[in-house]
Amino acid sequence: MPEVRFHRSLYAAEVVLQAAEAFGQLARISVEENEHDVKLTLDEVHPHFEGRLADELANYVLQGTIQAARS
Amino acid sequence: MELKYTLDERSVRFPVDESLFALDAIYGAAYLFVDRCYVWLDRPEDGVVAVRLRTKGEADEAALDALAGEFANELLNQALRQRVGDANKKLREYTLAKAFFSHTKATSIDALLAELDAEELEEDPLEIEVPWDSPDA
Repeated sequence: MPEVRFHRSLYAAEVVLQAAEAFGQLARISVEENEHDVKLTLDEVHPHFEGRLADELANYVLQGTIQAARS
Repeated sequence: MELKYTLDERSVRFPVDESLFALDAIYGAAYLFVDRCYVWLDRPEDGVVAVRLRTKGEADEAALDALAGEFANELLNQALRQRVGDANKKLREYTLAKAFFSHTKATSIDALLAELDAEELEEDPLEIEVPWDSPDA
């Protein structure tokens, strides 16, 4: 059950939440938020993406955050 | 200035001091590596961004060292671009404003000339009648 944390000072929280929804087709994703970060827990990951879904999610969130910061 | 990094399986980790490299420079460098690597950012302490690059495929130590070097160079490049951008900000704004102003003026003159042309055509000052346009033709 991989857990990934996105620190609020580095990642846009709204992009993390949007990613959780978008990646919801590939895993069951639960979201927990606190003042420092947004934590996503990935369960029932699609077998095809086992072992790399968290990494793909990280890139997706990073790209979205950078694009949001520069627009 | 030397960026220290550590290697582990398929990964390079950098602690980046934000007083030396602004977050925007870190973003800029990270963005260029997302096609080859999985890029993770973390905040181990205030003023420090931990960057982790994880290769998408297998990578030996030499490849990871090379990746670390490329990232360090790109980080410097991004920081430099940002400084040059900041230094030239006023000049850039002035040039842009001037270009915009000139463009607006040119457009108005064009519009006035077009108006004049249209009016002259209506008046037909030379009174050249084309036979096939004549009502008797």
